[in-house]
Amino acid sequence: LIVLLVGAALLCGSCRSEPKPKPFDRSAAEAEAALRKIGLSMFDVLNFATGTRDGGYMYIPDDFRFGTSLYLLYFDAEIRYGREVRIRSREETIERLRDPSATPKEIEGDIALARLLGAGQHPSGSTQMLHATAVFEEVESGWRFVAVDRRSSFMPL
Amino acid sequence: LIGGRASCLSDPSDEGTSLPISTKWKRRWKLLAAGAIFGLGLDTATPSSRLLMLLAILLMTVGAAWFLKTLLATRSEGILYRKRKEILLALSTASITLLLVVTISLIVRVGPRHFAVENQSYDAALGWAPPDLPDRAGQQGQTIDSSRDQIVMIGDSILYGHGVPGPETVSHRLEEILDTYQVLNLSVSGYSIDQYYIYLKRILPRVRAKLVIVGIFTGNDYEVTGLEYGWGHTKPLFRLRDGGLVLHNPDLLADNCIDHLAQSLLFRVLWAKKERALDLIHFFCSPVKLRPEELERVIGKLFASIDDEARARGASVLYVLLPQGQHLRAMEHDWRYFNKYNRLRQILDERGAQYYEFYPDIIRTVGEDEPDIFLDGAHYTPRGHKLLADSLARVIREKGLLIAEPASPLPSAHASSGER
Repeated sequence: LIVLLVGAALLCGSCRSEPKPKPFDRSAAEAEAALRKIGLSMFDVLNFATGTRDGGYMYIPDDFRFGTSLYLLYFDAEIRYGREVRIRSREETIERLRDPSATPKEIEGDIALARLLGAGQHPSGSTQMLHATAVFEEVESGWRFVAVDRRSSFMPL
Repeated sequence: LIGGRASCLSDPSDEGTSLPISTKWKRRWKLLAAGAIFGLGLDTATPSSRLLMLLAILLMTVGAAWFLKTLLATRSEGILYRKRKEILLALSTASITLLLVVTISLIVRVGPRHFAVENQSYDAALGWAPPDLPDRAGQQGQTIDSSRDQIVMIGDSILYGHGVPGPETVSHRLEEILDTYQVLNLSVSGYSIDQYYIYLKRILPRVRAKLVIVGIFTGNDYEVTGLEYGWGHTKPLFRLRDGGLVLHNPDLLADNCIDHLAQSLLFRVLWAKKERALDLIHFFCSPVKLRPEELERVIGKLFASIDDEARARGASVLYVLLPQGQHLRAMEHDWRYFNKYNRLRQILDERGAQYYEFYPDIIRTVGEDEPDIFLDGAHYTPRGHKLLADSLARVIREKGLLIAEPASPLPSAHASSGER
């Protein structure tokens, strides 16, 4: 009995882990469509391929026992700028915030673009390889798309 | 005990008889093994898994029983046996005393900590609330001025002005600017969106509100609205049924597991370690927690119900998204994937609600380091309250929110008869 109990206790170490997420059920096409939507008036997507492996599942606990389950779908995409695009640096974005006509969504949009494409000048016709991730959040009905983002340190390669 | 330092347990020579060496070592190994099993049980114990907790109790029981059995396995005579009996008596007395203390402190209810200091009491519909007096409202206990129209503010401790003297809170500051109105602050510490709605519904018929300002604290209003408890007390939890809101727990004064645990003397001590206290609430009470899709629909319905209540009395509604400190820096990092600021804003957008975001004005006015705006990353300093009041006054003017709207009939589409 003692051997059984000790064995069960040792094996049950995994019982302490986070809740198991649902199997990821979304298609890469959704990530590609989201990237094309972001690029709408700025760039075309020439090639789009999901990586040989994804960032996988990530569970983020919080103070309220809510927790957020994410799935990180890695992809590589080649884009071509259809016009000259200038992405504001962080300082420029903060400066823009001082303009009362700039809305919070515009500011956050600038920040998201700088994360994804990098700040600076992107000449018309130039191409760029993106190594990015599509972020999905687990909800009752499955996984819902949240954002396209860079692969940051938070999302281990 | 096991290693032989206490000769009474390991050296039987005092008994006038001597055990063979092999028997002595065998007993020592048994004691060691029993202690290890007990220790493993202690290590396994975690309130986050019932299975593990049961296993841990089983291991500790087996370990303790084996330890005692080995310890007592000697002839019932001699000084060694008497000393063992004394040790066991001391251990069992200490254990029983500890058990009694824990049981009594679990039974004695002292209420949530904030009741004693913040002018609140139990309330069957809200969980906790300021005293329900006909001419007073809110945790600040303001007297309703029947000679003036009101701007009504509702929120949690952020808008209430936790840690700030009354005259320096946002409502007083706003009244200094818009002095033809009484700014009535209905905010109560710990409230979430469901409680904003219920409390507004209670107070609005008693006042002449022209504008309702709903302060949404994006640090926890989303999450707590999806729970049936908050801050050591049960609270109302709405769920969706047939497209309408229904209360999951209509009588919050009814006997329930969460209040028993969370308001016990024992928990007054445990709340010092909030994580552990929440673990135990979840382990023993299995509280209901809404998942994101249902929760977001519930929040949308609550916003709609607040709009309907206000509009029925000719008042406009302005939602204010109140950020945590360093909001923009946090939004540049992956923190934004679990912070609910964007989800709340999206719900307001989907409803076409009028809302104001405070964080750009913080950065515009004082810069990104937000000096002297936040007390603790959530609550504002007097300067933060003043800035919020100035910003709100500007937004109210820009949006023309105090231009009187005719009252419309009170609709009932968003709330079922189950509501309190």
